[in-house]
Amino acid sequence: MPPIGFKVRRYEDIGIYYDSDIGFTVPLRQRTYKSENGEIQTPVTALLLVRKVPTDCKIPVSRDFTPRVAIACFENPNNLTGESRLKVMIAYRPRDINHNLQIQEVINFPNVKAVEYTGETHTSSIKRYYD
Amino acid sequence: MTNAVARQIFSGFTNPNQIDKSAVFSGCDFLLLNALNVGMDQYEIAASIVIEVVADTLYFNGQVEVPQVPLGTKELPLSLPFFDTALIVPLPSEATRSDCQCYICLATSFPINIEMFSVSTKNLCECKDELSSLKNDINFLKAINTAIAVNQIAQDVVLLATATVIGVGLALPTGGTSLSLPPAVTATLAPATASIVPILISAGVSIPIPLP
Repeated sequence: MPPIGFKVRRYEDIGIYYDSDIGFTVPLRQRTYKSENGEIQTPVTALLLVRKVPTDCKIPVSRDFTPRVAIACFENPNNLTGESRLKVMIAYRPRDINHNLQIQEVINFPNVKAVEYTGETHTSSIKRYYD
Repeated sequence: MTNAVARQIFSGFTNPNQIDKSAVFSGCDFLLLNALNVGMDQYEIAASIVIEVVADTLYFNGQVEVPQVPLGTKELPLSLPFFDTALIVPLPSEATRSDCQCYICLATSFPINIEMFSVSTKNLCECKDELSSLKNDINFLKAINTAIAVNQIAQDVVLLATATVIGVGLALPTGGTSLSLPPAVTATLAPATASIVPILISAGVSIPIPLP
């Protein structure tokens, strides 16, 4: 008998032009989770959507670095922890005025209880960006 | 036409109250899942692949069990979420090369509308089937061509007869020097040509030409 109790997650992948801290801009993939009836759960807000890449192509997942993200916490009684945490990229670099504005949008997104933030992380050499 | 074949092994809504089981398949190289009626949206799905191990069995005492005996239904652990409607789902060689029958078990928390295919290269039997189907089509088209040719000859005969009748009819009033057809003759022509029309229609409608 196969294991039971797993889930289905409905999602849509979109491409987002992401401004790196270092200075370059790259298209990255943002996974947007949705409810059973298609209601968007990941806080994809207006300021993120203006950075949407107009393409139907698959956008490769970057493994070079981890982009800065806001992690929005929602109440979810179905999970053992009682919450679900959905990541959304902050497409603007910190010195851009839209950086804080997009985070504010995530905070104001319906049913968001709390928002965490992690910065951009590079685990491989960044020397090449300065060559 | 390609050398690959995709067999549908699941189609329709999943049932969250039970484990959904796909049709059995074997010798397939990878799986393909499609989300239906959700536009650009995709699904991450929890699933597992189950292999029914059935084989000619050789025992220590030399006894050979033929026909094949079932050795058990085993599961291949796959990392989750491994099944994704946006991804090609590769299968391990245990499932692809053993020729044992496999099926997919799906556990979903809400009903989703999906279809699943097992994709592989065509085997020799399928190629032979396709070839014989093509031969049948060619023979059928040859028969139709013959029928059309026979029909054409018949029409020519009718036309010739009609023309002869009209010619004979005209010979009397014009003394054989008629150049243009008077209205009365056109009226005579109409019923004669009308008798050919049903032949043409029946040729076109009653013979269905199969699509390749």
